[in-house]
Amino acid sequence: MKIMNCPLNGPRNISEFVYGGEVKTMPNHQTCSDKEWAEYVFYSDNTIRIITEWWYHAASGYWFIAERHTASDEILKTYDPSELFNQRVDFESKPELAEEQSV
Amino acid sequence: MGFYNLSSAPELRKSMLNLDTTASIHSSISMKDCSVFSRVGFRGIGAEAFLNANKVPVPAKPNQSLSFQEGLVVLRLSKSEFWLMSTNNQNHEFIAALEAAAQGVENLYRLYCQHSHACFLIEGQDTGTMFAKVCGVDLSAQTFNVGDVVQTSVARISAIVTKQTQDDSDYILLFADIASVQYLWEALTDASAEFA
Repeated sequence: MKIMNCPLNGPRNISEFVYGGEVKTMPNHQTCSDKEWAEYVFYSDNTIRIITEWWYHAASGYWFIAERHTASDEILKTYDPSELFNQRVDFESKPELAEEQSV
Repeated sequence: MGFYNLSSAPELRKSMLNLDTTASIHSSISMKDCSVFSRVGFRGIGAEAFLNANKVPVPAKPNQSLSFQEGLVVLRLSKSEFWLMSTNNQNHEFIAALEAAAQGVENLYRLYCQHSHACFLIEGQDTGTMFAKVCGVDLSAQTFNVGDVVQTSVARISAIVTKQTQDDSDYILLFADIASVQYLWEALTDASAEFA
């Protein structure tokens, strides 16, 4: 059985965790191009290195960050996301659409 | 959208568990379905201050619980997530009032734990040994103390387990996804069967 160390709950069976993708900076979805958005949502580098990833402990509904080596699959470090994100990320509100023409 | 109090109409709540179809096995471990008993959850960086302001004591650290008043248990599931549970089904007004008071409070979000989770109350001195059959975390009496909360899988279902005490006897509260309530009840009854 493979064990992962959850920063909130301690060591748990890997079957309790769900992979959540690489930690990346979210582009402003109001202004970015389709290509930038697709890069953010769908693409990853897939190189051999230590990668920073989102992981989810399903039993407690808790998201955290793990550093994992992509070749050895060794999990080197797990920590609470507050270490990287300490304030709410907001994008400016959506520009108002022009009023629809009445027919 | 207007404010809808999730604690409303407790008399209309129905447990998804059908005990008529479940075999009852003689065991020293007893289980009670408390799914319809009132509870409420709060999350957000303002949750702790809100509960303190409403005279609800909260555990100091995540993954701890405490009992206060008659039949009320507070669970702290993370730094900013709290559940309140009435174990005797007598505290509905208190819980409903607390939920109403949460309206419009900044950095505070209600959780839908009343309708998303089933709740079992489990008693008996072999409970820890029974859990060793279905749960990877050690819940034996020596390591799992009153006030501990464990969030893990029980019989392959994600569950929140805590131990509390009342009238000098310990009991375990287990919360799990309400959709799996029948399976989990039967799995735990089956696991308890050998402790007659």
